[in-house]
Parts: sequence; structure tokens; C-alpha cells
Amino acid sequence: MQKKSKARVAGVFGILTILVIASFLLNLSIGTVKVDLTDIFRIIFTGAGDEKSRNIIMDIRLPRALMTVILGGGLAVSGFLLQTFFANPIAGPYILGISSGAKMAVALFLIFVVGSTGRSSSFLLVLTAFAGALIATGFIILISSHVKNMASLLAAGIMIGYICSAVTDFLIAFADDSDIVNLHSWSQGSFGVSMFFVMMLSKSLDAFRLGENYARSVGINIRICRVMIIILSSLLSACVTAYAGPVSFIGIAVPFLMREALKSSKPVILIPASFLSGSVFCLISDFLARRIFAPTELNISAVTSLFDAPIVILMIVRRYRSHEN
Amino acid sequence: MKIDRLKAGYRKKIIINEFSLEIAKGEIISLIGPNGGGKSTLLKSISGQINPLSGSVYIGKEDIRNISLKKLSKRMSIITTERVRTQHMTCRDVVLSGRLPYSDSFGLFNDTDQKAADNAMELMKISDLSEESYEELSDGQKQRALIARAICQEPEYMIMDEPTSYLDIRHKLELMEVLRKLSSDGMTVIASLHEPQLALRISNRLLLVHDNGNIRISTPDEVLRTGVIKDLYGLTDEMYETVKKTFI
Repeated sequence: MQKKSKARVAGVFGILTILVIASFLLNLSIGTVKVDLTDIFRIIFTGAGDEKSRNIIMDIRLPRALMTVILGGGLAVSGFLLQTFFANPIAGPYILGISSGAKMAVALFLIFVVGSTGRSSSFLLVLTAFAGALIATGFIILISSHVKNMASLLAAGIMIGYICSAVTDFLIAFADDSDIVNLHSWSQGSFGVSMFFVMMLSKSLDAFRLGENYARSVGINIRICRVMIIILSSLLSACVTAYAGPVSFIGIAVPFLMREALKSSKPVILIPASFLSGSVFCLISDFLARRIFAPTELNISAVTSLFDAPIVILMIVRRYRSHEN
Repeated sequence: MKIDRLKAGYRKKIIINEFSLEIAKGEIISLIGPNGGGKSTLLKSISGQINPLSGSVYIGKEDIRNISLKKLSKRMSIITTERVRTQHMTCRDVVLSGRLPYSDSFGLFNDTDQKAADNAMELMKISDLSEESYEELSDGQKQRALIARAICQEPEYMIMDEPTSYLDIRHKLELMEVLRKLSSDGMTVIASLHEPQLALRISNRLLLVHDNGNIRISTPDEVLRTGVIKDLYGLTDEMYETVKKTFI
């Protein structure tokens, strides 16, 4: 890496870290009840403070903010993996219908298993979401073996998303899914493990940038690598979907912005950068979702669509201009 | 390298009929023949990208199928005819990707890798393009970057499918010089070439890949003497006279 790009990488990571911390504290501090920063630090590090603020921070806002960091990061990384896999910068878990597949599986699980037995666990929930994500991904891969055209593949993904959403809506008519908001530590654990594996994949992903044949010629086992990408991206989007439902566009917009900001597509840099900025995006979106019409809470997907969909459109236009296809 | 009774093709379709060949270290072997005759299929079989229908390719004593991809990647590099599309990769990034077999498990490169990339770029005369975006290079420049990539992989064998495509006449001739130099340093080059005149100039031996899948192993002298080129490409007398002038 040349000096200039090293400085750029350091700068971007510096800014991202500051933004993550700032938006994290913003989410902790501001809400129906405002808590001062000094109080927040005191509560988190010493456990002191009045009962009410402590409950708000420790039981509600801190878990939610931590979850948001993980969800946003996970979505962005999942999007990055899918983009590498399909060699298509507009691929992402939401647009390919993978999130909707996971959501449908969760809805099925909640209604038929939890509804009839009354038992649920976050482990089973994530597992079900993972199965749904894998099935949706399987369909996409099946279709992609027949159509090589990027636009058709995306169209197919969007249709799969619609089908899954429609089924989910039918199902929801039978039951309510309030169980979905059931935060647990398991998904954070599985999440950490998948992030570790994603980082270990960065060399293979690096080689993938020049296509499969060249990747193979530098010693990458294509088949294993493909399977790993699919499992990890499905697992990441499943973790997210199990707890927050399908969240739109972060998976596409964030990796794109990071490629532009870093002027690079090297996975070992882009994976952590996407993770951090995905977190920032999600934290800010969640903050807006909570605050714009407080006390009514918006769906976070509404906010992310509003901010990220225009970025995706910009990206498509720019792509069109530079490649003219 | 030893090619032992190799038959190549896809599924049931035989494209290359059985043939054997022993290749010495540092040899330059060119594949010539008409379009669609199976040159690419043969090269893919030799580099292990597709499995042969029967027979084997040996590197040293080992069947290429039993060599792990990791080990193979330090011994063999390839150039394919497919067009590479990248996002945000500089010319240098593309060349450096040839060093991935030597990089750490995150794909990060050290000074040796950087130096190897520098040397390869210098050899292919693309040093000033180093920091340019790969997508913005001309087709010929892209091709030279891919060749530099294959060179900095520091292989024993370089398998090149039409390395001269997109290159102008000067760069074609320069590439021939580069290949000659690499082979004198001990690298074995197996390349398909569209220009018989170039193949005749640099090759130690030629593989004439016929339309019907037959392979004829020959030398430049023999090709010139017997005029097999005429049959190989199905040229008329008149055409052959024109082509022959370029051989001098």
C-alpha cells in the first residue's frame, strides 16, 4: 500500500471510530428521559446513580444500542459478502430476498411452534431465521446459474422477497409476532464467531476480486470459499432478521460508501470499515426512528430506506455512466 | 512437466485427442491452430482448471490433481482470455494479487511482495500506470497488467491463453523478448498464440492443434520446411504465400 492510501485508511477509520462512539452515546443519552453523559459514564462504570436512570440505561438503552451496533455491522458485512459472491455491487441481503426469507421462517416458527407449544428460545429463533435465509439464498443461487445478467438476478431476488413477505403477511394475520423483540446473548455469541470467520475469509475474498479462475490460480479453493460466503452471509443476516426484521439497504449502501471513501476494495480493510459504518448508520437510523414521532416509534427500515435508497440510486447511475451497460 | 496420454474436453465431448509430451525446464511451447480447435481447453487441462477426460499431467513426479492448490499456486500461474472487471483496484493492486500465494492469511503484502510487483511492472513497462485505476486502463494496458501479475507470482510454469491479444505490434514483440528472458531464467512457458510468425520466432517446440482434435508436436524448423501451417489453418495456396512472407 502506498503512503497516501495508508493515510486515507487511517483517516477513515479514525472518523468512523469517533462516529460510532458519538452516535452510541447519543442513543444512550437522548430519549423520552434525557440522561447526562456524566451520569451515563457513572452508571456504566461504577453502577452508581439514581434508580430510574440506571434502569433506563442498563436495561433498555444499553442493550438496544449494543444490539444496533451489531445488527448494522452485520448487515453491512453480509451485504459485502454477497456483493463479492455475485460480483455485483448492488447485491445485499434485503434486495435478494434473503432477509424476507429469514423473516418468513421466523414467522412460521413463531406461529406453528411457539404458538402451539408456548416455548421459544433465541437459539431456535436464530436457527430458524438462518434456515430461512439459506433457503432464500439457495433459490437465488439456483436462478443465478441460469441467468448471468445482473439486472435479472436482482429482479429475481426482489420477487423472492415479495413472495416471502406475502407469505409472512398471511401468517401474521393468524398471530402477532411480539415475541420477536426478545434480546438474548446467544445471537451476539454466534455473531462474534461469524465475524471471526469473515475476517479469516478476507484473503479468499481478495482473490475473488479478479474472478474465480484467477482466484483458483493463487491457491483458493473456490468451492469451500463459496460455501463459506453463503453460510456466513446468511448467518449474519439471519441474526439481524431474527431480532429486528428485514432492514433495508444498509447492506448495499454502506459497503459502497466505504469503497468510495477508502478508494479501495481490499477485503481486509473493507470488512471492518463496513462493519463500523454499518453500526453508525444503524445507530443514527434507530435514533431517528425513536425520536422523529416520539413517543410513536417508527420501523427502522423506514428510516434506512429513506437515507440509503437514494445512495443506491446514485450508485446505479454512476455505474451506468462509467460502464455504459 | 510431463503430459501423459492426455485426452481433454467437456463431459462426453472430446476436444483434444490423446497425446503425450515431455516438457523441459525453461522451454517455450506454443500452441497454434484455428479458432475453436481446442487450444484453450488444452491449456485449461494442463493448468488443472478442468479435469482431463483421461490421462494425466505430471509436475515432477506428482499428478497435478494431487498437488494442493496452495502449492500449485506457487509453481504455476495462468493468463486467461476472460475479461476481468474490478472495482476500485489500481493497476498495482491487480499485479499484487499475483502475490497472494505468498501473503499472510489476511491477504496483506510485505516488502518482498511489493518489490516483486515493482519488478514485474517494470518488465511489462507499466510502472507509470501503477497507481492508475485498472478499469480506466486501455485493453492493451490491462493485458500487460495481467501478464505482470502472472510474472510476479514467480512460478516455474506460466500457462498463457492468447497473451498477445489486445497488444499492439510493438508490445507483442516486447512480450516475446520478456518471455525469452524468463525462459532463459528457467521459467517454462506454455502459450497459445494467434500469430504463427511470433510462435515460430520464440518457441522451442510447437503444438499444432488441429480442428479435429489431433495434436502434432513440431519444431519451428520443421514447420517452416514442411508448410504444415497451410493445412492447419486450411489456407489456400495464395493465402499461404502471403502468410509465408511474414515468417522471414
